[in-house]
Amino acid sequence: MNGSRFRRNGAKATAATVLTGVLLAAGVAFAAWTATGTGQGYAKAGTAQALTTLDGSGSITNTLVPGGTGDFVIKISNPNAYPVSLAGATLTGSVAATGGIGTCTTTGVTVSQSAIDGTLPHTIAANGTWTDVVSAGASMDNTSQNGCQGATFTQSVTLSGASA
Amino acid sequence: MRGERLAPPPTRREGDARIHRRGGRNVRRAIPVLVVVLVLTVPGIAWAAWITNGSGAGRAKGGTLPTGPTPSSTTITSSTITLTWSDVTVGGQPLSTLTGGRYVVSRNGGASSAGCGGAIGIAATTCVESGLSPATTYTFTIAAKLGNWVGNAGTSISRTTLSAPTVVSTNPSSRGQGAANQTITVTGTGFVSGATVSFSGGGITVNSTSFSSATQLSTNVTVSSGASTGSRSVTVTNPDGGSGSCPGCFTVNAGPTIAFPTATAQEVVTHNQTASFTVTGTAFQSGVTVAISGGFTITGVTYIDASHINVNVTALGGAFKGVYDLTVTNPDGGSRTSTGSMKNA
Repeated sequence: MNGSRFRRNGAKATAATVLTGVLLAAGVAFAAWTATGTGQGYAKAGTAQALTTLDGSGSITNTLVPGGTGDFVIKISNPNAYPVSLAGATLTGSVAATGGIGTCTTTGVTVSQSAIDGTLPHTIAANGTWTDVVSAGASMDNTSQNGCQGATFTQSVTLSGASA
Repeated sequence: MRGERLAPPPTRREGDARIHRRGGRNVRRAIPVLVVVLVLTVPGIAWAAWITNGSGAGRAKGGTLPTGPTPSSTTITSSTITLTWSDVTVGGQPLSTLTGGRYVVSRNGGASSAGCGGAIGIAATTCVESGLSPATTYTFTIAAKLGNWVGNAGTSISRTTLSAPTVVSTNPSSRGQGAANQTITVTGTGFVSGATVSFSGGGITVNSTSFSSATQLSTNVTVSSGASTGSRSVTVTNPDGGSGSCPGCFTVNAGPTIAFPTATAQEVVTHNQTASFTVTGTAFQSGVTVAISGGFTITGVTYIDASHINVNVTALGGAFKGVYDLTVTNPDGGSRTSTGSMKNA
C-alpha cells in the first residue's frame, strides 16, 4: 500500500516535473518574444539590453590621408547575458571630426557601407565586446582640410542583432 | 476495509494496473499532451531569438603627413641654386606620384620661385631656385603636401650663391673702326669656363671668347667700319647667367678714311717704274701701314700727319697690268681700303 502510494506520488512528481519544465520552457519562449516587443511577455526574464559602441579608435592601424583609404572601426559592447549575432551596422548621418590640428569642417571622409556589410554577421559573446575593424572601410578625398590631420572621424551607426 | 488493509500488497503488475486504472490514468493522459507542448515549445525557444539592437558610432582616424625631406644642393651659381631631395612615402607610395602630392619649397621662410613651385608646390624631387642675388646666403626647407594637407617642414639647409663676375679692364682698351679679328684680353674676377663677352652699342662683333682663368678671358672681335665711335661697356656673362660689366672699358676709335687715291682718282704707275705719292684722308695714326692687293711693291711708308701718308712703290714688271686696292691700317686696327685705286699701267 505504501509502495503503491509511493509509486503514485512518483508519477505525480514526474508529471509535475514535466509540467514545470514545460512552463519554464514556455516561459523562456514567451520571454524571448517579450524582448522582441510583441507585448505578450509576463515572465521575469529581464529585457534585452541595447547594444552600444565604445571608442575603438585605438585599434586603427591604417589611418586616412587625402586620396587614400583607412580602417573604420566599430567597437560593439553586448551588455546582455546571452550572445548576440550582429547582423547589421547601418550608417546614419554624416562624418564628424574632432581632435585635428585645426579647422576640419570639410573632412573629405566617406565610410563604405558595403565594406561594413562584408564583416557581418558576427556573434558577440555574452557581456562581451567585439571590435569590427573594417579594412579600407573609410576613404578620404583631396578636399580634406589641412586641419584634419590627426583628427578622429566619427560616423553614427545603428546596430541590429538578435540573441544567438 | 480490514480485509483490504490485511490483503497482501499488490504485485508490481498489479500496482501498475492500479495506477493505470486509477489516478495514473490521468497522468498517462497528460504526458502526451505535455510532450506535444514541449515539442511545440522547445523549437519555439530556438526560433524566438531576442531582438537586440543598438546604436553608436564607428571611427576612423586621420593620419599626418611625414616631415619634409632635407634638401641638398647640386649646382650653385650666382643667381640659382639647384635643390634635390628624397621622395617621402605616404601610405607606402612616393608622395610625388600621388594625386595632389607635392613638395612646398620655402626660401627664407617665404615662397620659393616659380621654378620650385612657389606656394603651390612642385610634384618633383628636384628644382632650380632662380632669381637669386650673387654672394647671398639663402635658407631652404621642404614640406610635404597632399591635397590641402601640408606636413611639417624638414631640416633646413643654407647655401650661398656664387659671386657674379666683375670686369675691370680690357687690353687693348680701344680699337678703330674697321678693325678685324682683334684679340682683346678682358680682366676681372669670377670668370668661369664658358663665359661670354659682349660690347654695348653695336658694331662690334665678338668672333670667339676663350677662358683663360677666373680673372682673364681672351676674346676676338671685329669692329665694323660703321660702328659708332666712343666708349663702350664691356660685359662678361657666366654660363649660370651671372654677369658683370665695366662701363667705358672699351673705346671705338675713328678709323681711317682715304680721299686719294680712289677708283675715280687712281694712282697710276707705269710698268717697272717707281713712284712716290701721298695718300690723303683722315684719322691716320703714327705707325700706320699701307698695303696694296698686288701688282706693286711698297718700298716705303712715311706717316706725315693724320691726313697724309707718303708712300713709295714700284709697279712690278712681272705683274699683270691692271687695277689694285690700297689699304691703310692704323696701329689700333682701324682700317680702310680704297678699292681699285692703284693702277699698274
